Amino acid sequence: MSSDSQPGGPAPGEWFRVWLRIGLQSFGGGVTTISLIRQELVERGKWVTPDEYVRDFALCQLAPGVNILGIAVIFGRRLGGRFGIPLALAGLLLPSATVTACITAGYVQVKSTTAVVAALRGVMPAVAGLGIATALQTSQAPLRGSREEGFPSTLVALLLVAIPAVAVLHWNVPTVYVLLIASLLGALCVYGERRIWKAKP
Amino acid sequence: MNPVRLFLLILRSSLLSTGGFGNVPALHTDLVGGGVTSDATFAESLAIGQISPGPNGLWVVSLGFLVSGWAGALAATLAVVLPPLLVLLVERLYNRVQDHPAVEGFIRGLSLAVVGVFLVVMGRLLAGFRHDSLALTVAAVACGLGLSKRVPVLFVVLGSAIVGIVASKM
Repeated sequence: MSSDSQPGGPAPGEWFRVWLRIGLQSFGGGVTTISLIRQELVERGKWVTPDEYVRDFALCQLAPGVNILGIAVIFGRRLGGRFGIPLALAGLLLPSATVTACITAGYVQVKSTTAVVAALRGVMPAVAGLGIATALQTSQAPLRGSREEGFPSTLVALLLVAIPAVAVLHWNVPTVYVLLIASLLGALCVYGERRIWKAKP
Repeated sequence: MNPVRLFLLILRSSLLSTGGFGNVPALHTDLVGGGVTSDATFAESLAIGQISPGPNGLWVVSLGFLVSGWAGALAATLAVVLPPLLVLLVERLYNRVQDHPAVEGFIRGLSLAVVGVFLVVMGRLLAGFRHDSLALTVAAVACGLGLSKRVPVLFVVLGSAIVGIVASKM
């Protein structure tokens, strides 16, 4: 699981094309993109070992922002040479961001036509439903961790979901502060549980 | 909206979240709560983000366009590129902090809280449909399909558009 596999990386042109392929093929969001990246870097290019990929993917989840862009940054620096990061980001984003903006521009043109207005009555609730599914899936990993630790930890975890929701809904606390406070509470709880509680004789 | 201000709002919300949709709740507060745009426009940008190629996080490019035109789309793209660069810093610290309980707790607290506020935003998007049984059924079916992961999201969105059009003809 070495992280210094610079020699044997792809040439800049090929590196750019790899990310271009990933960006253009990834319809339908995160899961598709993640498997495409794995396919290109681990299976096809063999520049990254499966272990390395798992570790680096975990790293990206600790970093802020879009995880997939984090992967492009990590491997861009390690494998792509001097311009590895900008080449990977440009390949991944230029075509897909342009297409997204163009679809939106096209949408603005047809927005008030009757067919689109009718379609939105289906699309808007579907987006909300998909969002709820995303939220439930995101909650699984942290909740599973808490369940394994027992009832008090599960209770704290559920409160860390519920209190921020109430804070935003009824107390009008700005979302950014809610997230920051919940993160600090989480840090405090796990730290307290491991270092203070368990340290008692 | 001024693209520079939009850039700063997206940057702030993305710095304090992880994943492509992690910035949804904060941006909803800033833009819909701040009266810059409506729930409907916000949902449209999420829908376009779902059907266009690239990482999920690019939904903000659509939001940027709807709020401030091409300059907004550019501002959103730049704002979404910068926070992931911090992964280089995380990588450097990783070996020292990976087993520290406070780090694990911070990430866990953040992801749980995002779930809570995210559900509130989705509830607000649905609030306008609370007397519309067809729309609520579509939401429930979409949620089920999303959880099953059997059907690509693209088809769920397109299918829901067809349901909306067919319902209007009846």
